[in-house]
Amino acid sequence: MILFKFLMMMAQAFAEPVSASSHQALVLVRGDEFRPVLREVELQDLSSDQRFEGKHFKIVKGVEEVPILLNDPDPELRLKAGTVYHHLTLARRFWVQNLSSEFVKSLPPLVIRLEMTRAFSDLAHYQHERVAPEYNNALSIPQGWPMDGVGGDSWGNEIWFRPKKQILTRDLPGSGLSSSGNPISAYLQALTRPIKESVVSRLIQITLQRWFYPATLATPYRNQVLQQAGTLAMGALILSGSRYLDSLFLEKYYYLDTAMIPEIIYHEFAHIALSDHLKLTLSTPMLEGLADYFATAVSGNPEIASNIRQYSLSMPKNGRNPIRYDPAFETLYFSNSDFVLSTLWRVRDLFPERADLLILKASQRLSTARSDIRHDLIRALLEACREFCLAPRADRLRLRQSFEDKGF
Amino acid sequence: MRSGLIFGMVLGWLCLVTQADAFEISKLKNTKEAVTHSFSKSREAEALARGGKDAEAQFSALAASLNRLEAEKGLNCDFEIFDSFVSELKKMQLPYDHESLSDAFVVWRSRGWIDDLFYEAMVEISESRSRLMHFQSRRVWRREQAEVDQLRSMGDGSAQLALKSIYLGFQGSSPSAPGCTKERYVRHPEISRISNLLAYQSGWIQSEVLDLLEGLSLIGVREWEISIASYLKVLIQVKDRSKGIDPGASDLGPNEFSSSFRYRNSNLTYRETLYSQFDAIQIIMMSDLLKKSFERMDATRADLVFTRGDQSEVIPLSPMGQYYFARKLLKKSIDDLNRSSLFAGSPFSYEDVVTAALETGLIQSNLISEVLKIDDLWSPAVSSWSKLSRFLLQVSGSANVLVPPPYNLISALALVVVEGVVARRINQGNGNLGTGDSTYDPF
Repeated sequence: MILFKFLMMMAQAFAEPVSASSHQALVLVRGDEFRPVLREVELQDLSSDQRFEGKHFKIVKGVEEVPILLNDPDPELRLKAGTVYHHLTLARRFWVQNLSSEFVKSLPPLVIRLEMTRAFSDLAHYQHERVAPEYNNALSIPQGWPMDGVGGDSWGNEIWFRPKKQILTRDLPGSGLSSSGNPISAYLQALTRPIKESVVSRLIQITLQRWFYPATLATPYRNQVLQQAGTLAMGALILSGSRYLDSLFLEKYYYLDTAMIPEIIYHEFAHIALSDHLKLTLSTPMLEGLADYFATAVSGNPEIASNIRQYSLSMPKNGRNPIRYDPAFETLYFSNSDFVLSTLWRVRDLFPERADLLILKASQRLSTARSDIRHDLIRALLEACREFCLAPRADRLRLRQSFEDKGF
Repeated sequence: MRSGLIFGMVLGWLCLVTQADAFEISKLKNTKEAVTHSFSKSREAEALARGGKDAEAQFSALAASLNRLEAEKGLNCDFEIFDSFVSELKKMQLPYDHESLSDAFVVWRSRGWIDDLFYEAMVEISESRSRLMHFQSRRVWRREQAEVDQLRSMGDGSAQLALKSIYLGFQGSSPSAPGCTKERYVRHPEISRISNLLAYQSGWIQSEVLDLLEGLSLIGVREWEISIASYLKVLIQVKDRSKGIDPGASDLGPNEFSSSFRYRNSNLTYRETLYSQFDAIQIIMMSDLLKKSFERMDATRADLVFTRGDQSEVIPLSPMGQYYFARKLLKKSIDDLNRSSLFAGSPFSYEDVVTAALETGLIQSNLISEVLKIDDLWSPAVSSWSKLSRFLLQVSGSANVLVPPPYNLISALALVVVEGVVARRINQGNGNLGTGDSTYDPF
């Protein structure tokens, strides 16, 4: 009897859950003026009435395989799980309905890992927890299987959201900041030499004048020397005073709670949605820019991670950034710049109703490893317009002029 | 049955011939000018009130007269066209005096049945016709007679023979029936008051012809920018002859560029300049320059080929490189065509090319601003603010020495900040245009 009851309990635990279609959960959404607000929403397409598991997404914590409970005791984890689930559902709907993506429609359920600090390994799925834990990031994982001899199961496409961690800006690699001074001090230091040279040459001039043409000196020599000395002193004073601005630049923190930022969720899903042509093997400026674009297309706003201070204290990306092309943007160092995003957003400004389709069709002509911005992305957009624009020649001319304004 | 078949074939052939020679009145419809400069709103209201009811019938008379004249003789002479129109009006018992016709022209223009060019040409000729009708030349002054005598006596006989042959061509004309006199008069700039008097006194022409020639001089036909005959000739061959760069795109109607003034102090619009200075062949050639340029921009691939002996090195251009190269080639093509004999004495600018493309229908009004930007490569549009900023930056650096120390430090700091922010924007904006620097790198 006891055995029977035990078996029944086990059966209940592992039985197919009853198909529950929705559940009210507190999630973070964008409200008026793009500000984040917490709101109760219905989570759609859930296949479990106990866990964050649906027809298309399964939300887990870290390396676990069991989805997070809908009534998990940790409210922050529940909020993150609900937010991620809700926004992924919106993103999927956008790709299926607006872009008619058959690939997305046919995707198997994705595993979404929250609070995941482990580094990815394409040989074993993930590294040991003590090996270089990662924070303030999100990434899309390509499907794979473990190397022979490693053991473990194969995995499908996944999205990992790292937890946030506060880091001083000066400790960020590539910040350009150091304890030697803030940008204004650096600027003023560059002026020191020309000012010194100017003062010295003026002193020489008035000295020579005093020796050879004393009558031409309008102001007494001593006064003029004092004036020049005063100039030098003022310069030194301003320079030393500028050090007090260090706190505005150097004593700054950076953190990014990626699971709580809707646009990052859309961005990562976009990587998965584009992975039929653009493999997830390498993070290139073009690939990141395309994902940024579709993230902003889903959100309807040209900015990513802005106005969300409690979860992001980092530079947001802006589709309206007027920055012009520089060959440096082709390098992996600038993978996360918003140059490609702002280029693609201009396409949206030109063709608001067709841009998403154009850019999707353009992306199908590209490859992760070989394509660059200047040649391949531009050509892909022009070729997509040849096929899908309403007035192909006129619209291609408009595109070219838009690219010209971007400095191509 | 057989005779009926033959009759039908002959009738069909006649219709075809007639159809081929018929003038399509729809060609006159204004599809190019969004704005009219020809009359004010008050004049328009006045004309609509007075001439509205007959305007449609008068327009039908115009269509009928043009059709008939085109089939009989062709539309070659202004006064012939106008007189044919007037006789049609008389036949239909419609008003044909200058005042009524002026109102009718305003109504036609306001309803878009004609454009500004045709309106102004018709108003001019209607007014001139009424002045010419009963014109009589004035008496000869003594000084003029002296010049006539001098002309008669100077030179060899060949010059006088040439002059005589010109004047003999005017025989039969009169102010009431000028025919093609105006065109012949304009073709011969050597005709003057003195030569007219010589011709009359030598018996080469009658008094009516003298009156006619003097009348033509008085109404200043040589200064007419556009004549009806030349306008119609160009219109038939040029207007909307092209399918457009996007054949499937719908026509978006008149544009403001064609009816904007070419120069600040000019009363000639771009379209008027086009019709007054260029013939049909020239307009088509100008339009084709842009067409060729579009084809180059849209080529699927463009390469630079360096050939050394029997070896070739092929370097592909980037998409934007191809675009810039196509624009540079357009500039070269414009320069080459300007230097050719086909355009001798009639140089054209890029704006004329755009106007020609609009006229032939190659481009439409929605593309004008983009097409006008194509020449920014060699003729960049610099805003007034950019010009002022550059000037101030150039001057302020030198002016800083006039600021007494230690205040010159503050001004120097301000200058550095301004140069760092503003100048960078200027360089990013206009500094890269037309200078051939690496931003227009084709690769």
